[in-house]
Amino acid sequence: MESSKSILAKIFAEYYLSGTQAKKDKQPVAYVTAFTPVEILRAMDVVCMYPESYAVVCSASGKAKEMIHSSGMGSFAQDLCSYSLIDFGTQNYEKLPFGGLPEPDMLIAANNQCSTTFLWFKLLAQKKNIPLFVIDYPIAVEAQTASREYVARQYESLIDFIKQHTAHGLNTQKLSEQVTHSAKACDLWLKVHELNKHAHVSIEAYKIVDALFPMVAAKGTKMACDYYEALINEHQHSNDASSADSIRLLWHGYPMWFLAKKFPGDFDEEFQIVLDDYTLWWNLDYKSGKDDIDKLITAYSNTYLNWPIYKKIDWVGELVKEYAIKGVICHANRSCRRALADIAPLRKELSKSGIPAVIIESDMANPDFYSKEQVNLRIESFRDTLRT
Amino acid sequence: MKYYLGIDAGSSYIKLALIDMAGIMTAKSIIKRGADISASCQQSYIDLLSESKIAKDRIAGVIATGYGRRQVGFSDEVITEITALAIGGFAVDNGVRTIIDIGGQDSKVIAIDESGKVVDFAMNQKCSAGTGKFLEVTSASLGVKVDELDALSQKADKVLNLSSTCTVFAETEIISYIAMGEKKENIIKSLHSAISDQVIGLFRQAATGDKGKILFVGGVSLNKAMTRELAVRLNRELLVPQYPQYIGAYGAALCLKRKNETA
Repeated sequence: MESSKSILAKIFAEYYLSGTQAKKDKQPVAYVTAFTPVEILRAMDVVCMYPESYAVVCSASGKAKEMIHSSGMGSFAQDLCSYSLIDFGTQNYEKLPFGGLPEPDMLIAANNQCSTTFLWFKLLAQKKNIPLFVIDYPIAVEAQTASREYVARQYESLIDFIKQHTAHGLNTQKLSEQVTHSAKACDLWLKVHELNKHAHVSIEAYKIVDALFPMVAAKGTKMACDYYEALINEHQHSNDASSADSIRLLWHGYPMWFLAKKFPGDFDEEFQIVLDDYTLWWNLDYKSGKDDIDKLITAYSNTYLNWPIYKKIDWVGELVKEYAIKGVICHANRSCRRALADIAPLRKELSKSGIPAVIIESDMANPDFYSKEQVNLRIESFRDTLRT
Repeated sequence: MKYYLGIDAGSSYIKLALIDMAGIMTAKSIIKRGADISASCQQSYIDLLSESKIAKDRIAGVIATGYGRRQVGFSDEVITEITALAIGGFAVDNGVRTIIDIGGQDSKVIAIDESGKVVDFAMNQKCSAGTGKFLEVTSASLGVKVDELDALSQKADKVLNLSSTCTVFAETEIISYIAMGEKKENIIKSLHSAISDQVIGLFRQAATGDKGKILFVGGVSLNKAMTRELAVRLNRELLVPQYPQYIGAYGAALCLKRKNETA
């Protein structure tokens, strides 16, 4: 079986080369937000690129600060979402990682994750003079019939929009394949996390964060499924014996991408982050629905960031039980208001159920908002609390 | 007789507390933090021994806490100030269940249980609002010394609306109030109210209801106006220990003593 590392390298290469190749072949390129139903776009032969994911790459490569400062800070507030500031910064920046993203022909934004992305894309549409389609998702509450119909009508309009701008029709067989692969990738993705349900940790939580890219940028592909199968195969029999007695911690929310491959704080054998719930935000339900489009409506209407707060709190509470978590580190990410709003009520609810939680304030991509000493002090003090 | 030394290398001041084998604080010192924390601590240590006429070989151990704890090169141990304050605060009065600490650049609320164990804590976020620095900067813009704050605050006849979340914004607002001819006393009272807003937010996050005593420590607790404002807003009595700035250093020294005794 091919190694996960090798497959991941191919996924990266294919993703970035697909953009360049698409421009050569005059194939349409769309910039999409993280929870856009790309299965539809790909079934219409549109190449999808993720500026948010690219902002992660820029942050992890240590370029975020420079990019944000070259983003035209005079016209943008510094506390705007750092992904968007990095993206604006790429317009004026040379030596971009992987040569940068190809120029888009259209923009597809959805508000099932945040309210900034479509305003960000609106600015891009004005600047680049290209068409923008925005999908509006009502907050995912239980009774959804009217909401589903509302989203279904927008998906029909999305298909018409793409047809209008590309002359490509929807290939239903391709769509079906995409949805099937997305569903399978999610099953496998959940299994990757579940490797750490046992007392022994099989895969470091940050390795799971590192493994997220295919869930974002290669969903709907067989290669993503192959990658997660290989990853499970490599880790399912490994376990870190020293982790058996560790105090198990949950990292709640976004990683800090600029820290490059690690969570902040020093964790020894006594404490171990076994799960970052952020990576599970991509575990969507692609199976519930009467047809492929209906399944996509289920998946993309029910993203974590589109849930009401009570549902998010219940979900984290379940994870705490399932993964035998003893303490939660909540990252109050100032870039993401939807995630930020949950932190205080979540901490309160966890506390009521006897699970201590600490809040650390920083940002997902902008190192200017990271104070190492302050974050470390909170984590260290939290560890003292758990220890005693 | 042997002694243990606790050093609280804080963001504004370095505090040293020397305790004897009975856990009694026998000597203490405080200096403004210099750029070289380790050198400042070392000099302060030498001075303390000299003033208290204690030979260095009678020091059984040195422990550091506070922001600069890792810079104190000669310490045997380090602990966080949350743990140090909990130990020190509980030693002052074992009826204490909540500790409010307002230092130079941060403020914290620590909840402890009946055994002195930390059960929760909350700290101010990255900015200096709700800290001693806030009071220092804003009172400086009024041309008022910190030790004048209490008397002036008592002469206030109203509370003004001031930013409780940003020192820079608050200072700008103060300048506007001065320009509008607002009474200095009212502005000062409002500053204390703004800090209270921040601290009460932390208190609500961490404190364990109405149980037990509340201990108020840190340099800002020496300001009686602040103690009064917090007590009124919380509708609770606040206990201020005899040496409120030394509770972290004292708690750290006690921690090391206990560790060595159980080792």
